[in-house]
Amino acid sequence: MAERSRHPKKDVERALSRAEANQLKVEQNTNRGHKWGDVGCQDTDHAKKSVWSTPRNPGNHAKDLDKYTDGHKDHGR
Amino acid sequence: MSYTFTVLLDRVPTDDEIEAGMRTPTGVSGIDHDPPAATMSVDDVSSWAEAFAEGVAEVQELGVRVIGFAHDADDNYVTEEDLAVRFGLSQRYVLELATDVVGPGGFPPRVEDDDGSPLEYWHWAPTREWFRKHFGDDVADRFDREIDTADRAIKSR
Repeated sequence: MAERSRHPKKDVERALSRAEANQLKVEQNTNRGHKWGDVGCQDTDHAKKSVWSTPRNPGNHAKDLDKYTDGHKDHGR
Repeated sequence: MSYTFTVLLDRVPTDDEIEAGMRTPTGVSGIDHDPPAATMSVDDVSSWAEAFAEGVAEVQELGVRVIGFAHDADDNYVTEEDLAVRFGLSQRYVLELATDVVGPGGFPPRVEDDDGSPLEYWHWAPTREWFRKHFGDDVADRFDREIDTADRAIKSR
């Protein structure tokens, strides 16, 4: 997996780093569109969580990502 | 302040629909799959009715249809801002209640990370019940009443 760049919004980047620290997979899209990438569970049967490039409220987008991390961090361990 | 709420969708938008229809910046805070739902953050409005209308309009630009409004799960994460907007208080006052600067004390603890350090969120149910105990049902149920009203309205269309 190619190394990802930092998300431009620091709240979102913090949430992505936290997801990675909890062994979730953070994948960045190669095209530069509205969807920056995904956060995925170790259990691939679970749907991924989309990460947006330009959230109007980065704090709330980070909150959504944190909730996903906390709901999936124990899967596959 | 941001009005944050969750709408139920007839389906999850595809990546192509997102790329074609998403606003820049987007008020979509997150999309869930089971059931299909979108959490919206709406700014620059002064009422829940305005927030709901704006949020529904924005998410439907992705080609999906809003079929309902969802109550928060008991363990959903809420911020100071969420609590302020939902209970009709200032964010500063909520923070002062949460840190025992004012009020009766006993505010629920923040959600903890694995290392025991507090995140910047609370769980919805304990905070709602704390407000019910100290501010009454009318305050505690404000947000849920707004959700119920919006849900009935959209299902009556």
